[in-house]
Amino acid sequence: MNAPEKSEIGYAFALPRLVARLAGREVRRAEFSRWEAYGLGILVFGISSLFVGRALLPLVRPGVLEWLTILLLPFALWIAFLLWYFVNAQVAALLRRLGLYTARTNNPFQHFIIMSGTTLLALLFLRDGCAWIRSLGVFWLALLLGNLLAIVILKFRHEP
Amino acid sequence: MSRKLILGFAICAALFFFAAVAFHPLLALSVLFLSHMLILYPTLVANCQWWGPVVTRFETKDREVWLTIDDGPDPIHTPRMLEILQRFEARATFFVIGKKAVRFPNELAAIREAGHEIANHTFSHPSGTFWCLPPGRIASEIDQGRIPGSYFRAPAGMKNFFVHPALSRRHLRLIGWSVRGLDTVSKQPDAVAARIMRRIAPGAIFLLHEGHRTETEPDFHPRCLEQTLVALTSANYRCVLPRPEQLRTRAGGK
Repeated sequence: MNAPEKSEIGYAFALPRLVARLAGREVRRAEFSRWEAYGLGILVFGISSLFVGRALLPLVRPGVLEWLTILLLPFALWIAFLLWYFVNAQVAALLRRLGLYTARTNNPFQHFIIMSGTTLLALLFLRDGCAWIRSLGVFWLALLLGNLLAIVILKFRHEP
Repeated sequence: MSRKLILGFAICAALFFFAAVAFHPLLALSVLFLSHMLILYPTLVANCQWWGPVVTRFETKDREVWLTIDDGPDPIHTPRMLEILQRFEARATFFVIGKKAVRFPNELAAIREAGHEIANHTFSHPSGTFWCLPPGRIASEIDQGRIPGSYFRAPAGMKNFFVHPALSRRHLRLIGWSVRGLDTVSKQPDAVAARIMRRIAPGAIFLLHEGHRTETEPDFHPRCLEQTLVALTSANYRCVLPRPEQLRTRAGGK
């Protein structure tokens, strides 16, 4: 395989690849793109924090406990995410044993579960009374649908 | 065993939290907090064995110690470190950062040619975030540098519950330390050597660094190594590479 040209940009997701192609730029598929990973990570973490915060804070008495909850929430949520990865890994191992999951690593399964979970939260945001939270839900769903559409278009154009 | 117990408790605590938060928010938060502390302790405390075995010493009847040098290779420090090691007839294991190994292949080859050992110290050395990385990123930190060898050391010794399973799949052992010189924060080479000598014992694993302060104090790390080796030699210690069967965890297991 030839080494990619220096001017070529690599994106892991189909949507930025398609947009770059439509803009007439040379682009390739990358296994990992740092900026996409950071952007997506912040978005997933933000949506989860917002959801848990909205559900939890009304239950906590205003005052010190409320501030403590706000302060510890991102931290606790990150540990919850790690635990979730652990549970997913156990499920993936079980599915592999049953012959229902054959990928070499757990990454595709982990990504699928995290994306599905975040999409579920985004769908719940659509019913929220606050306009900007609804907009965040719409933004996530638009990104997801745009990416799925870009996958189909790139497939039809026989691009990886 | 302790890994499964802690994670099992954490999952139960999370479920309890969701069930009880509406009725007893303080109790629910306390249980969740406790479970998170149980996760954080073995993660952030280097050499803690709760997630799995961490080698912190080796079995020997002689006055032998294991010198480990982290964060190389480095074009300024590595040649000087190798020259000092040769002068003292000392052997060391270099825990190298994958990114630097790719960038400085000549220094990596020089380490190997001088008869020292190479081991894995992650690809990008994410010292602030390695402890909280998900499994996919941990796997890529271990694999990306393609560092040969059978030992791995986590940045700053911090490892979460995904590290041990990832290492055992790759037949790698997690190496900690018995003594560290704290040479990345210390200002005096003799203070580094004195700190090591206070805690050294036969079978100890001690930790020094290279590749830091190369612009401001390029002599600092080689001097730390030299002064430590002077002190060790005068106390009749020899720096050797232990065999895998000599390695021990703090609990005494293999």
